[in-house]
Amino acid sequence: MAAIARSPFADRLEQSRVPRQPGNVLIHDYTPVGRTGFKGAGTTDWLASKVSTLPERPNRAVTLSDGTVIGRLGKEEYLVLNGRNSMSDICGELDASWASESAGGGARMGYPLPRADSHSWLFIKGARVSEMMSKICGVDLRDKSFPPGEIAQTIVARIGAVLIRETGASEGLHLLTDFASADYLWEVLDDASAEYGGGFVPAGRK
Amino acid sequence: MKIMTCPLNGPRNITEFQCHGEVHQHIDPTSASDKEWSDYLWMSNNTAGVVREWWCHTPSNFWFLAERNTVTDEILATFAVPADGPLGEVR
Repeated sequence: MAAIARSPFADRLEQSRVPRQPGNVLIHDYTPVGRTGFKGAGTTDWLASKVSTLPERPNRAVTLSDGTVIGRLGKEEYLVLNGRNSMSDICGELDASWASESAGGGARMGYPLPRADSHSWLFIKGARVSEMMSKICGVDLRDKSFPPGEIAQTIVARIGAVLIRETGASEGLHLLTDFASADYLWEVLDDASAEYGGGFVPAGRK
Repeated sequence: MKIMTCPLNGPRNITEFQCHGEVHQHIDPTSASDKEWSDYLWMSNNTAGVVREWWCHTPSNFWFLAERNTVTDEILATFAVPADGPLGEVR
């Protein structure tokens, strides 16, 4: 399964208020959108046969024409995020392809690393995102040191996180963290963004 | 905050890392004596000076090697595990 039925932020989002200054920090919950991963020897060759382009080195990401983001987390480890505004489900197709092709044996093609149940997915955008993140993350996320296409695997608010600056979305960051820590992360981000008049996008809004 | 340089992820706070102890050369369990096997499993050199250690960058689960002075706690070098060849235990 490349997607989950309900976000761990769903209950909170139904009660959240519209941020006062959404231009500063706006946090979108994309947890219900599909995502998946693959890892292990042979993954790069297998994935290259399925998609048009792959990141050239670890800790880089590419954005495909339909908005799908492919992040390379290691020499043979990839994270795939479905396009946020796209109807295509590349993650579901990749999972299905892997399952059917692996059943036939043959070439080494790594193994699936499902991400839908393990990681929540937020997209944080706005003019003061890097300023806000500096309160909870030790990596310099300003544009000049963390340009589009860059990935940081680090600790955010004391929990392991993958941060991706999507190509073409330079003012925003994808933040993937431990699913089970979502309630805690909500409190941290709600508090950190409040200083800038920002916050989560309430349920039902874009 | 102390900074350590991960070979994959670059300079990061030391709190992102875990030390997993000295590098030991693996010995053959089929030919080793009981004492040699017991030493391999349970004994540490506990060197005062420069040692080569296993470290892990926990957010990415990336394992690598580091040379550290256990007296001064200075990290001298970090490097990825060689694809082949010895791990270079410092005795």
